[in-house]
Amino acid sequence: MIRDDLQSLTAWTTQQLVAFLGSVSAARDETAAMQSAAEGVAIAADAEVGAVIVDGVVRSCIGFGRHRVPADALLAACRDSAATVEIPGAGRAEVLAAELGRNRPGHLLTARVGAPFAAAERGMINAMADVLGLALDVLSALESERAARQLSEQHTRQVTELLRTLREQRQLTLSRFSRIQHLIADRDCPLEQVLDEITATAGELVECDVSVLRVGPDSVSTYGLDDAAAAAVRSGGDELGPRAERCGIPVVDNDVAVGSGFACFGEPSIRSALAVPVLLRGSETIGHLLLASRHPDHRFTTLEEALATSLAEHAALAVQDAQTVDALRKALSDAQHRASHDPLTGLANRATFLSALESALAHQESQESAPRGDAETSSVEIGDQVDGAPGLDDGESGESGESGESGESGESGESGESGEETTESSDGRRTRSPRGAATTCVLYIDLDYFKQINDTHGHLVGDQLLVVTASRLRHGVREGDVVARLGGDEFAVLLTSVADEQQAQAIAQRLYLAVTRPAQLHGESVWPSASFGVAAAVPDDTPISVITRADLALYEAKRRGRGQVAVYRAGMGESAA
Amino acid sequence: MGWDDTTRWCAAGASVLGDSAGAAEEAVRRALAQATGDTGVGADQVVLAVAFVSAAHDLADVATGLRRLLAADVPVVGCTTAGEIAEATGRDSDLAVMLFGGSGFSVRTAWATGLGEDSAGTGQRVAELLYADQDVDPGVLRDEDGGPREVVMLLSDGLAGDQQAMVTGVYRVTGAPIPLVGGCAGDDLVMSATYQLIGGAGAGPTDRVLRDSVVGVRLRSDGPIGIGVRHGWTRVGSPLVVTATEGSSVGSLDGRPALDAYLQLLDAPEQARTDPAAFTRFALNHPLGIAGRSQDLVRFVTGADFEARTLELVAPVPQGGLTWIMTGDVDSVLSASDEACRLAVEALEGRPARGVIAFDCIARRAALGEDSDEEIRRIGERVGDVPLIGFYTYGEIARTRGMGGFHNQTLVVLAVA
Repeated sequence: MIRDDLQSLTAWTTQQLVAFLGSVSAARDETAAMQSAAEGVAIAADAEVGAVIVDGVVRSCIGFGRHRVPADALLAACRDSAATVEIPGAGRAEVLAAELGRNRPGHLLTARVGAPFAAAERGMINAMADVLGLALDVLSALESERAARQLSEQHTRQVTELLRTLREQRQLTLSRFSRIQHLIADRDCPLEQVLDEITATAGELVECDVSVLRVGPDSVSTYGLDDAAAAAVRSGGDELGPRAERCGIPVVDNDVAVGSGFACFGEPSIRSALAVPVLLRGSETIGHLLLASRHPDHRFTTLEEALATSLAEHAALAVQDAQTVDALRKALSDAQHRASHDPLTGLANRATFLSALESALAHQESQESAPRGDAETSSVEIGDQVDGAPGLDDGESGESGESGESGESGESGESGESGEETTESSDGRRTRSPRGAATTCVLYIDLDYFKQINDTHGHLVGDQLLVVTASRLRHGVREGDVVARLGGDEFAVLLTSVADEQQAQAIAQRLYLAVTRPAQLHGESVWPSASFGVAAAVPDDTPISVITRADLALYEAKRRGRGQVAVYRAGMGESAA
Repeated sequence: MGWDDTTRWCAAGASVLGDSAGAAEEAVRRALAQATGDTGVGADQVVLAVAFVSAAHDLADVATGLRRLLAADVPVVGCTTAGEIAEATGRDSDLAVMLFGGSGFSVRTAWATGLGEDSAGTGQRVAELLYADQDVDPGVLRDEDGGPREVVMLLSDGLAGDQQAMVTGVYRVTGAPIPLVGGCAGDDLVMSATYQLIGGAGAGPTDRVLRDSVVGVRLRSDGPIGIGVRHGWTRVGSPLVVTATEGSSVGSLDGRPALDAYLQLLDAPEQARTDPAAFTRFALNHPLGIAGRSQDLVRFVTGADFEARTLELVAPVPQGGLTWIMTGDVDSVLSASDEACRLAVEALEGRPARGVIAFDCIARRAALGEDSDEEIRRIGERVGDVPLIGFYTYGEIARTRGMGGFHNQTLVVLAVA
């Protein structure tokens, strides 16, 4: 089963992934991201070499020192997973290359001498490659935006120059634009605030009475309107803005007819107006900026039109920045989730299960010296669930009790007593569980005859059975317990604080009943069967030692004919061997 | 060339004189006497002098003293420390010198400043200077058995910058073929300023005293080079999630203010909860550990901000990662010392060491207390009767495998055969 590769799986991989995410997502541009990724993957894998290959070119590489980078060997290793590469002065290294993702043909590669890559590390490096691919997509989008921004800045300078001669407002204009650009660059500043700032800047710099910035279906910022007018403009608005959006160019009306479409703007009436479209990436219309004056003599000039156009560009940049940052954040969190969860069932994967178990064991150890209140509470919750569960099968409990007798009788007698206490306690909530009595248990679960189900009903049904089993297990445990798919048809459940082994056994019985209910999968009736192994943690346990005992108990359940729960008892290891 | 040839030799000397120039001169004289006694060679053969010096000394005066016996073009490197290791006295001296001599060694030195501003870039610049003359020929770097024939030794300002980033910068140039060792300069735990010294061929006509710098030595030998690394600390209690960090300052652990979580978990004595100096002493014995592939990486807690309730570490830990509070006792720390020495000497494949340099974390010394003399004695015993110097560091550098090379609360032993 899984004992062989348990050694390499610790919290370590998750930790390294977090560090990698941090360094790559902080990169300024694609080149920096690729250098950071090559160094990051080598540090994470404690490997000699890290490299990024895009479109058949080694774009960044660390580890060969002053030697020529063996590009051909690295490219070959991307194609052939069994390839190795010679690192001069260090030896022949195993190579692990992971694809960057759909949008970008390339690989994140690492090479290490003298230590083969474990499965968990492969998962980690795949996740890193995903993250790098996404980061590169985002950075190339941001780079084209920056080019657009430079155009916009050039535009601003022209406008500013004109303004200086005309109104001597240069300093004010510069500082207002600089403030907007700062807000856009500050990724923690909410988009609404940036848009409000642009709207106010438009109103103040152009010295008109009203400005309205409409972006998308919902976002409307206003300047110079009282609350009633602002509310009216939000729900309705004028006709000039939509016209600018349709045409994709600025539209001016310097002779607004009294009583026309600007009625909702309130009194005195709007006499002149200018609308410019907000164009995402220069083409896709997402809204407009409207400036309006109530002064009978005000005429919008081409200069003001240019200023408004520049501000509308800033609004588009702000929206696009926000979208890309959101996309990056989501992509990063997805990648983190993918790295720690099984894609089919959405359950935690092995590495995640092991680090959760490691934490639980450590907490249990510290609790033994200083018991905590919440341990009490959670064991009562379990007691309730056990009692509320549909009819526990006496026969099966008896059988598990039998295996208890074959073990250390003194201890199992004791835990039997506290188990009874648990059952009786359902009425007297929160009074029963002795302080500090909580323990950590592992259930090791294997579906019986899974191969036959696959062979008889096909892989679709087999996969569906895994998904259904995952869901049944997940719904049968408490918040805080961890259900994981360890691989194939093997699952594990971490019970973080149960009163004792007997209670864990009762939970296992309940989960057994849930998992073995008949299921309709793709129109076929399947009667699943499963075997459960139960083991409780003892002092000085490691994740491996607990899981190994649960695995031995599972073996015992299988040996006795499958379809049952077995609790670990001393000596099972010998009978298994 | 056989291992018993006389084309390369090491010699060590130490001095406790108060006068900086006089102490340096005395240490070199003693080392030369040792060399003459052993091999009949002298000052004209010296290719490198390494000096580890108490922060009480003035490094410029130390340079003057070294030059009284060494020619102006002899490469000299050194740094201030948090205590010296010298076999001459078997315990702390104020100044320790190691001389490398003979045609069997070749040496190139370089320096760069700006460690605090751009740690990786500073490391990279030093390495580029060390390797500016030629491309590395892999055939020369390793002996038949694959052991290294070349090593880069780094002495950096222990109070500036991100040392792992500095090592990464060096690695960009040296890569996997070249092992790295070294230590971060100290200032006798004053935590105010450390200094690095460099002079002689390649480094310019005058001896320089630097801060915020990395000084590098590229040492090539006709014989094998061995490196041993061990720390001797173990995890205590539950893992803590690093929930907020800024640089090397940890804001929260498990969602709680980091200082409070740390003090409570360790049940820290009252004085350490209020007095910064008492806290720093307490923290010496309780570093943080980060899970590593083979051995946990240890991170020294240098202090705390009692207002902000943050912990100050010697190097950053990743946010979202897991960390453990670590502890050690005299036995575990001493047996790690034995192990580091054994590994270094073993790498020489049966040839006797000609010289040994030890980079030992100041925090290990604090953990050992009275037993730190015992550690030096055991290092001497383990490596055999050979010239030995070392210093107590603010961080250790050792990279033989993989890319990570910055350590804390660790003993790094460099043995040259």
